Amino acid sequence: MKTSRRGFLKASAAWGGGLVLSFRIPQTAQAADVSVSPEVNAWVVVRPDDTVVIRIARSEMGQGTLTGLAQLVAEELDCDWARVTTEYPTPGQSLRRNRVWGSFSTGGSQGIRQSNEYVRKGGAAARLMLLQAAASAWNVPVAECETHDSVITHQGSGRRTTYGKVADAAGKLPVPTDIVLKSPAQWKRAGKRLARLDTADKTTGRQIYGLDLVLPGMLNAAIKDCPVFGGTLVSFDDKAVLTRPGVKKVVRVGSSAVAVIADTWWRAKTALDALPVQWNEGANANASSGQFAERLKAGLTEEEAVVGNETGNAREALAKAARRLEAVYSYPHQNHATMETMNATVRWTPTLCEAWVPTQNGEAAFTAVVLASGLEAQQCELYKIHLGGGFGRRGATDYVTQAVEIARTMPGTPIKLIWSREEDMAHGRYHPVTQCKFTAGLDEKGELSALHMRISGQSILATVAPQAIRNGKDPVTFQGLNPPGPEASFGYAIPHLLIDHAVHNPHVPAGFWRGVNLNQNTLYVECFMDEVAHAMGLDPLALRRRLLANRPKPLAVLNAVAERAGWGNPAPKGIFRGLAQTMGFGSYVAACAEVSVSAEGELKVHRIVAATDPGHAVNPQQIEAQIEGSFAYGLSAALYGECTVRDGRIVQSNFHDYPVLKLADMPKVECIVMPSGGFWGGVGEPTIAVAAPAVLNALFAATGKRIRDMPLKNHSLKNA
Amino acid sequence: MIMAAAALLREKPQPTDADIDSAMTNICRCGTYNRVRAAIHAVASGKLSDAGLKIEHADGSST
Repeated sequence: MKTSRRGFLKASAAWGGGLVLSFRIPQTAQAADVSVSPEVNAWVVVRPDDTVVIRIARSEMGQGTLTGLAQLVAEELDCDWARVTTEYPTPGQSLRRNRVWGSFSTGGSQGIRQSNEYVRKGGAAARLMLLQAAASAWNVPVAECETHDSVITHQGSGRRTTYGKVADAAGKLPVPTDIVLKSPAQWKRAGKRLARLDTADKTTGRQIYGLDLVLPGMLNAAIKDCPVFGGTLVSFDDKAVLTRPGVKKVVRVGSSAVAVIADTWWRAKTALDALPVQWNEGANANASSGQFAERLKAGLTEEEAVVGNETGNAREALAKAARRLEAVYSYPHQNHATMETMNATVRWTPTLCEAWVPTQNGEAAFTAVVLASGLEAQQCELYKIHLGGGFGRRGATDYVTQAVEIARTMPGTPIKLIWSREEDMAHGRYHPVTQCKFTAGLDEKGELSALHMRISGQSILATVAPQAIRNGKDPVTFQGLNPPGPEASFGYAIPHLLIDHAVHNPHVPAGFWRGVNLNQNTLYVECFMDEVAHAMGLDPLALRRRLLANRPKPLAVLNAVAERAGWGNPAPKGIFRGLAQTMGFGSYVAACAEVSVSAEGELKVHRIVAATDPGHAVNPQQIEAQIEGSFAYGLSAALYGECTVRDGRIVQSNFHDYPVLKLADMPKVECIVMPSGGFWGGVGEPTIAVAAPAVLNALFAATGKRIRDMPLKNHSLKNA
Repeated sequence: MIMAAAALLREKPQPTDADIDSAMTNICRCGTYNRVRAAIHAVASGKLSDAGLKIEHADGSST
């Protein structure tokens, strides 16, 4: 019998694996009885059998933050790593406890870098409490006791006990606040290439994702929102589908969507497909990508623009330049295309609303539940479930609001809302669309003396957080282009520099898309730097080294990839190399790509060498996984990633017209993780940004063709 | 993807890279492709350390 993996997972969720199918579904079976053991403090529970449960506020979506954060807590707790498990606290608990776990938001490559200090303190405080509990029981000074792998020993007498035996008493002690953390040089667990804590459950199919969740008596819902953004739902004819088997109800959701509730999701989905619906497509019904492109093109030369980075007087220097270079680049809308489509399960009654959500931002999702439920915050709860990919999409809460509104129509019945892939493609929060015009000036000596980089296009904050826009400026637009500093700064020293943004927002909603604006900004800058090097008759590495001479960190990652790749030595016959570097999400990254182009114009990316300096490296093998994965994601974007708009709606509907990189096309990736210490950088996103420009620069070396408009699928590389 | 890999290994216990390319057409957005390839080869050879990942496990072993 042929069993699909999804069916297998569903079956194991329903029948196997020891999962507790109450209304509180724990993330793992091991965590099922957490509530019966009292905590030592907010971060640590130790059960009588010495199992250590570490609480993780950030969301696990494949990036490994769950394991990394647990390593940091365990490092200070000094517990037996073989007996560590994890659980998510809920946003409702956090609210009741004055946000003891801090932010739940998991985006911007912040999981480790923004919470490392307080989670380590949580582990250290728990260790001190356990130590004190043992010392008090033995009636000896705490200074005479020591810990090792969950065992407490009294030096003088040799008496021993374990964390599990004293946890109850420890939990009654005051939480110490005077904590001295270990220096990274003293780490035993953190910094190590430890296996992920969730690998076994994921490999065996035991891990529950939102899509897999099954609750007793649960119904399923499929939804269709007006395909034109900003349009509304006028009417639907539910009589046409209510007689279909399993169909329970057809409901209006908000002002613009309709959902079918049925016993199975497929019955809901096929009924929805058959449902006659009338939309008011509104003012955007004729909008198209071509229209956006015209607006953005006009923005490249218009007077009004907000300045993100300025040194000297670029306009004057450009006017006086001995030689000028110009180039215009563009970057399209893209969908996150998480493998698991948007979904949420909600059970609503007049006094209680519970939601089970794969979300990157538990607190924002909880807020959406409260607002949509019509109940008080104390009457709501949200349980996080592992995400089948996030990439920024699941920081938004549109699908959570919908699921609550649907559940409200059938009080007491849990309903799982699942978006079809087509709905997911049609209603994303898209990578912003921008164009970029460079004007560079070379002085009499041929040196790069001035650069004007004009960005024209979409602001993410205009969609996501308009209140954060100050004086018309969206600071996120300038990722990788900021003045020198600890976050996303522009590395190159150019005497006269002007980087500005003409804001033009199409009606397509924008969102944080893994790598965010660092992606296209790095592509623009790194490809244009190659153009400048070519015009100056300089090697691309030599130009970058010259302009980064006083910036040791970006220079170090650049040199590391150049050396490993063998830059300057001849590549194998038919293979050509390209470089890129950038700084973002607190880390410094660089890549060298090796490509070939066949006579038929077929591009093959053979090898990537990539370096990251994240300051501190908590789990180097997971950082390598993030670097590798960044090329799968970044090369998918470079080769194929494009959402176009026709008649106000997204044209692409599934992976047949929105392809992504497959295993056969994945290049070999050699990772260099080189933490230089002294700062905490993120690793989930920065490398995405160097994937495309390294390949495009190698492509230029191979063919002499300079591709400036993404993605590559729109260009012929034949007869180059 | 795990089931596709298991099916491949059942059909071809010693798959080549080309075999893996043509059998493993599942989409992965997080980018595990190279580790999946390495894992298939490691299972085929019977030596998990062949995956070359140098991962430390809680029981003290490594792969």
